[in-house]
Amino acid sequence: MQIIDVAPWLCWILPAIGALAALALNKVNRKAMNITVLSTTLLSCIMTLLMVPSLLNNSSIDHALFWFQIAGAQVNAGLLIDALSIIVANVVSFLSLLIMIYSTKYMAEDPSIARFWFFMSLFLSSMLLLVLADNFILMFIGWKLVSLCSFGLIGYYYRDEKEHWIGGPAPFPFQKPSRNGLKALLMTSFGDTALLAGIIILYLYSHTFNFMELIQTAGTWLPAMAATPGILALTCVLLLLGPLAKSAQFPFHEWLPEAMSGPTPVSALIHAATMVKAGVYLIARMLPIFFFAAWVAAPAYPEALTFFIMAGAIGAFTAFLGGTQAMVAKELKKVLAYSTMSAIGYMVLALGISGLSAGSLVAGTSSSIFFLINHGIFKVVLFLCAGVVIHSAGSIYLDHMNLSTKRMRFTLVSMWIGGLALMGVFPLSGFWSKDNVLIACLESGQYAIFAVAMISVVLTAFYVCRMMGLAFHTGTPDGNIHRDEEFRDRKLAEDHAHGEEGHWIEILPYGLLAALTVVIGLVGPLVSEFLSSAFSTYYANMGLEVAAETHTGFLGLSGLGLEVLVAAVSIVMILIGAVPAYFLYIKPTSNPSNLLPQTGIRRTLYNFLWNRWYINAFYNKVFVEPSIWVSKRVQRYIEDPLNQAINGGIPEGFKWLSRGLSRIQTGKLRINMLYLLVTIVIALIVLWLGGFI
Amino acid sequence: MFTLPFDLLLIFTVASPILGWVSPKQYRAKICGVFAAAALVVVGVALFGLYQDVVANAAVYLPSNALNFATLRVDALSIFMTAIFLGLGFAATIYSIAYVENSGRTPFYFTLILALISGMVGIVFAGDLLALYVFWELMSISSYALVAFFKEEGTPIEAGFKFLIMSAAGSATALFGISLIYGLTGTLNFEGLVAALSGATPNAWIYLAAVFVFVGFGVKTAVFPLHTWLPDAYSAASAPISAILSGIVIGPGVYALAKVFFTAFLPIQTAWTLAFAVLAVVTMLIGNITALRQTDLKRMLAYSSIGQVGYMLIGFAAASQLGLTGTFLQFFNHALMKGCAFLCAGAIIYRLGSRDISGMQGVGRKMPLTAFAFAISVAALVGLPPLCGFPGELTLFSSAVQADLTWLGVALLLNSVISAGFYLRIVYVLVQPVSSPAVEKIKESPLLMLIPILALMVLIILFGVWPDPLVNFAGDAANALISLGGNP
Repeated sequence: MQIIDVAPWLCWILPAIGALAALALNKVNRKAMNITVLSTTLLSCIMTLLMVPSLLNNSSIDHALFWFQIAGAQVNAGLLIDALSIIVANVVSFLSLLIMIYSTKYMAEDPSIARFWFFMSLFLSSMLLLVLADNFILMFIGWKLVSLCSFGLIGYYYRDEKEHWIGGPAPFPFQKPSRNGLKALLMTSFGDTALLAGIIILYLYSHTFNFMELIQTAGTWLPAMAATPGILALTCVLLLLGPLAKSAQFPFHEWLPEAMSGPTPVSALIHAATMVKAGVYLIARMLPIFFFAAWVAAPAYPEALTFFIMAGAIGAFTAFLGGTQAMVAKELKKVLAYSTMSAIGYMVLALGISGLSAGSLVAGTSSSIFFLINHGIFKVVLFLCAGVVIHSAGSIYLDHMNLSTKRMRFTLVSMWIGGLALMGVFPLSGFWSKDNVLIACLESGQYAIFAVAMISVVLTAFYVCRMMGLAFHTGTPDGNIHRDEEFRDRKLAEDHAHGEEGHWIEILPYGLLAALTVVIGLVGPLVSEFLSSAFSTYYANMGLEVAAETHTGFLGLSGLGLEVLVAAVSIVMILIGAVPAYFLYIKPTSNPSNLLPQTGIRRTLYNFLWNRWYINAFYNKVFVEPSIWVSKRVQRYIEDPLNQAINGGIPEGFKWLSRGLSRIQTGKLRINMLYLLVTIVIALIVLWLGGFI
Repeated sequence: MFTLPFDLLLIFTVASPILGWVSPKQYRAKICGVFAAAALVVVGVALFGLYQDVVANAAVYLPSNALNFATLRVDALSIFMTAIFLGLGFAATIYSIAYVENSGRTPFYFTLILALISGMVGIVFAGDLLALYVFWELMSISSYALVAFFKEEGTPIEAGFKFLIMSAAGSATALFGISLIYGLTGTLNFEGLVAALSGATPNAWIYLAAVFVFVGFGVKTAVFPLHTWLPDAYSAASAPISAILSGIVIGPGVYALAKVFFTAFLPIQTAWTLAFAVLAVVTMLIGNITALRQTDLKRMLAYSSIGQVGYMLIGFAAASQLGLTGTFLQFFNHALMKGCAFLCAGAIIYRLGSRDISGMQGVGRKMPLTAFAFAISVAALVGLPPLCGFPGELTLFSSAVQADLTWLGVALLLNSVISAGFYLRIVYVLVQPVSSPAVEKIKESPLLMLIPILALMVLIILFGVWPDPLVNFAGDAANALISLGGNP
């Protein structure tokens, strides 16, 4: 047995054991609990690392274990080890490990830390299961389990103490953690239901849940599906809705900003680095099927393009939408949440690009996955720094921070590295992946998407500078703490001297990741080259090489020339966004609020963005309020009477029936014997009547 | 004499009272208990050897395959059934070591358990109806004695007596049916019966024989309306015996019915499938609905066993390989689930001294492991995935649908819902806050009781998560019977 046979199984089973151990050891010994959870996470990380060699030799292994078979339908429990799953699994487990280390300090004083460990470990386990599963069923189990963990962790402070509320500041409304958890679960469930419907439709035509089989047999089941017009397009839409909801893409993006009410490590791990990437992963996983249908199959099925058009359009729109909202957000973690939406929009649009022309498959996918890796790393840096910043400032609002640049040097530097990488500044990691996406847009001829992506670059540059400026640079270098008594995080303020640097256990993870951002940035072209070659083999193994490498170029430029052009344009775009923000927030030459009169077009625009384009309000008006209105009436006129009828009536009915039937059981032997005789007699009568005897 | 596992079983049965007689008084119960448990393990190992032969030869004949001799015929179905008998028997024996008190009579308790298992193994090894009948009586006599073993109280005696009278009447009826078959064909060998009756135009006698055989074996199987002895017997017997009775003594009944109806009565199959379908629905309804209002924990479990028998009959109605797979699968799972549930109930009653469900509030807080296993076993009985009850009920449901008896499948689902009404009530009561001083005093079950309970619980989960080996095993068993009947 080779290591590659066991590592994929162990890597998700170990954290599951860790989750159970957290519960079991909670009352025994907290230290032992922490060590157990960390060591299972570490082992899981090692197991995923052990899979990397098979990435290098470009193999694709399907580890199918026979699971069960009922009435002819066979379901395997299998793990699929290929380039895509190995890369994503490594990102997940590596970031989890560092975040878990950070949490040991960050959550040290929490009384219910066992619950935290349980959900975090279970999350890691199910996320790896999701990524490694070789079929839709197993994947869906992981998919729903991560939702459940996310629900448990967003609402981690389920008692809804006032210090854990987000939203505001007054007079704006606040949101409570428990409600936010529910909102996330509800909104993603809409997508999940659609996804499940898509899976079922796919199964009805293909008779398999297995990803590889779906692609391999696509040639045989696609004609049947395409025979009814619209089915293929419908399947595309349904299958996409699940990932879009999970990845907080329009129109399901509204749950993510409010998911920030969980502890900061949760925001970092689940709502920025990993779980929200599950959607991107699944789109990438399903993409070959529709690429085959759209470009390789003969005759082609143009309906399959729906998949790519929808992904490209929604990704681009969300990238823009998230960026605009991040510009006006008042809470540090919300800025990061909006920026996560925006960044995932980038990944999704890149995946859309990969199927919009026959030649962009490899470029689109590899740039999207490159972006996924980089974003995972630098967004974790930002979030972990944000955790320390929030503790240190004792406030969630940027306006109240003004931290010392002297005393928090490590955090400041790391956060700037993360921020610049997010902006896409040369030569950090974010630069390369962003440019790859942009080049892919141009090469496939999607100029509209390219334009939106470019505008998003401006927005990103602006909000990153604004965030950093408000957090660190507006006050004096020694810090100018605005104490907001109401929202001071009392418990943690007692540990941290106010305005102080984080503990070294907290600094270590994000310091390391910030360094990694720089390193990847320095060798960026190599990494990107490696990913393209890995994905071109990956697709070639699936038989999708037919359409590979037919770059058209742009304005007569291609190759290096195009890269330099895109880099130059994007640097200009960054400057367009960064310079105003610099003079407004970092070296303020005028008060930003002067730019916002009480009325007028700028105020209207500001309000529009601050109110999240009124999308949330729209959802509340259209879905939530009518639902509540209806539900009250349903409760009053239908539910309550029915409740009485059913909860009173059925038990009464069964009680009556049960009492009646108990009379059969007399306990008297002679009557029992009579039954025996009666049975024989009745049987004989029936036989006689039936003419058998 | 017969075949190694069966020989060993009989020798151990006969040896155990002698061992009890020679062993020192104060350790007598323990020694005999350990001996019986060890005996079952040894037999299990020997059975594995026999299983290899069966795999190689499809069926093993003892002493020879002659039509007019009393023979044993061991096939995959026999091995399947024996594996359950030995497994649950072993669990109940270990449990009994802690459960029964040491007295002069205790060695006989273990002797009777071994004799009971010997009888059941004999039934499933039997190659003809005569051998089957002989071992049937061995099983029946041991089980009457076991029900009435704790004769200090009045109810076990009464229950044992009722059981005896009804079973004896049943046996007599069955024997009458068997004699009719013999009169028709001149043979009692199963293969001979298939050969003699296949293709023959059914006449009145074969229908009569079917009625009498059904009623006779139906008493032990507890098919409505022949089930009336069951609630008394199960609730009066001691916990490990209830577990054995409910978990596996149903088995020989189901087995005998299947064996006869799928060999001798194949020519009149169209007539009896519908009868079985109706009986299945009525039996499950009666069992489950009557269980709803029981206040005595063991009685509730006893009634629920009747409901489960109803489920098993669905396989007869479907009369297909899939249906029989479902029946045997459900039987196997039922042995695990109900065995575990009765052992848990016994442990709670052992600690608490009362069988009234309403008095058990808070037991889960005092006996967490037992209560957890209990909860798992009842959840499995309802048929919740991923526990082992689910694949069994799903297979039965699919077989009903496949046989164009969708209404029967729907009845199964509805009954599963009804059964949740009383199964889950147990869980509800166990997790309530402690409300009585009696519960306040109790503690977790003794280790020797806990071990078999937890082992069964682990199997319930294991076969729920990974049902495939078991489904295949049950499928092989069903195939063995189908191919014996001559239509592979």
